Amino acid sequence: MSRTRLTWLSLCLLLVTGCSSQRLAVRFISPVFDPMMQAIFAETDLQVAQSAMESDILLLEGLLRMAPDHRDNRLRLAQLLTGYSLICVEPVAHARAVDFYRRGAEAAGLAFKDPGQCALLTSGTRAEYEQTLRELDRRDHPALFWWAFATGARLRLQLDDPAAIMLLPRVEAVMQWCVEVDPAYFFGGGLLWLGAVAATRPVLLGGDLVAATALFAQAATLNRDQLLLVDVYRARYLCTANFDENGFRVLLRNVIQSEPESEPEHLHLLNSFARSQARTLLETVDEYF
Amino acid sequence: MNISRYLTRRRRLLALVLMLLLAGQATARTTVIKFATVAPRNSAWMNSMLELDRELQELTGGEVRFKFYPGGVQGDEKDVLRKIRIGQLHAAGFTGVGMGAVNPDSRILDLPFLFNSSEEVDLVTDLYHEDFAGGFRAGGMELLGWTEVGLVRFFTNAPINRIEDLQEMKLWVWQDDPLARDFFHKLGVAPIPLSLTDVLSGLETGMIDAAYASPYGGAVLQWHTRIDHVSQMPVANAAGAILISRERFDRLDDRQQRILLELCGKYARRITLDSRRENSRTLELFQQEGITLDPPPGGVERQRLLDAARAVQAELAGEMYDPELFGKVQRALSEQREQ
Repeated sequence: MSRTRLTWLSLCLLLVTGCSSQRLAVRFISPVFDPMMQAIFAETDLQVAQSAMESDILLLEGLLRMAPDHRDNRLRLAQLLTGYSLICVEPVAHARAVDFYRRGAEAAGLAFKDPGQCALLTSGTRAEYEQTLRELDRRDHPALFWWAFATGARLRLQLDDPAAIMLLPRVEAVMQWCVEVDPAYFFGGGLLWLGAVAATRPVLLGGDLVAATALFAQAATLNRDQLLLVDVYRARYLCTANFDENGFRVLLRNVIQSEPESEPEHLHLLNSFARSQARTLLETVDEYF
Repeated sequence: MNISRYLTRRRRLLALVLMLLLAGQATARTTVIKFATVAPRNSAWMNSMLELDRELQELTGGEVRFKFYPGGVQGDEKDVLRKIRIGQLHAAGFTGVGMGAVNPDSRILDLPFLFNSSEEVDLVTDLYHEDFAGGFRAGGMELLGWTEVGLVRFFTNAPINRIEDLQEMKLWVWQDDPLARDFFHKLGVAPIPLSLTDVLSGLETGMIDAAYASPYGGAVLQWHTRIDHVSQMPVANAAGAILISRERFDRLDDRQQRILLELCGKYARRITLDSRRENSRTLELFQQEGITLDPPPGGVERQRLLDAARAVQAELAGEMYDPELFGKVQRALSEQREQ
């Protein structure tokens, strides 16, 4: 019997018992998710990873119904929803991706020590937002990271909405704070995120290719040049902005030709995703040059 | 060698050559319009342009299509214009500064305190479309449609109730825009010329404490994060247009030109209406952020400002734009206001 099935069975059994025992059970089951997440990150097959993420999302949703204040599970759910949207949904369906990113950000917001802070960051007046930003708690760092990551990814797909345009600088400031606290968190994902924002924004509107280049370089160094997503970002954001078609092709071909066997296990999923993104970008090279 | 196999191989080769020739002809028949815009991917502007391109390809049977360079990757309007002149690009979305470099008369549309509303802008661009189009044609470009940026407001840290308030402010002026620079000078304001990219840091450091933009433009540039007041009174209209080089436009046959003009007119109008909605929505969002929307100055002060502005408008006529066309625009607006 697979681990997932066993967990489901335990969950069903516990649903018929009392509330406190349910919470106890959630506390008992939840640590299982850490090795499960590690297994997902070690997966090279994107379809297998997709199935695993889908079932884990539902499993976590179920556990959170039993213990809504379990902040670690909220955080795991935020990570899964955001990762699932990024890897599995956004490449094929933007509107669905927006929904998953929104759910990811909501889950992250509920993992804050004070979930009210999330609302202030998003829809508070500028004074409220600035005060909240000044008072951010380092212990909230992972929740803030996933909130910013998911919200920023959603806004990137909604640039036709003035509300998204208005919110983006707030999210950017939160991500900057996250990177200052721990630049290495989630494989330097914050550096990649900030680099993408700096490179995507037109130079005329404050975009900064030099800063983006430095942020991508920092992410590459943190991952000992083994995170292929960095080169995909370099091709997608820097080469297109600099009209460097040759560089674009070379970087992406190298990503596609890299061998998973020679890569560290914990980067398998992200590198497989990078290879898939590289193939898509090469197929649509005409859009950029 | 077997003769029948040899012939079969020859036929295959001939078929292949024929196919390649046909493919070559098909490619040669396609006219590609390389189009630059500062609007990023996924923006309403670019989404409309992508839709326009799909319809253009459909209606011309793939004979004409756009290739887009969004996000300002081709540089600012001066760079884009230069690239169009040398044939590296063919068309672009321009704002007043770029338009004025092709057709100085188009700067009438950007004159401060000339228009009171978007409806007045529509009136003038409809009535004098051909006059403006003729000016662009004389400058080597064909006007494909108006894509208004929107009514511009002051972004400040204090309300503007009198001309003197404005004179006391450290007001930014776009260094590439002689119209705005001259206008403010003549109004007794000593504006500080900076590039668009330096305004945000200028507001942060206090080098300037006032700037002007459409509400949506101000939000995109993040100026709203550094100011407390936005004026409700429109300072000016920020015009915009889609222009294509005459050289590329003339390559199209009559039918293709007609389709391109019709489609661009239709989608440019959509972009303008989207822009107006975005600007209104952004003003609401500013209020939610806690930014004060300052009401227009009261009767006497408002009239002083308008009188001063009109004097400057008249002074610049002949220097910067055709006084005859300006006169026609003024008369049309007066008649409209009387009605």
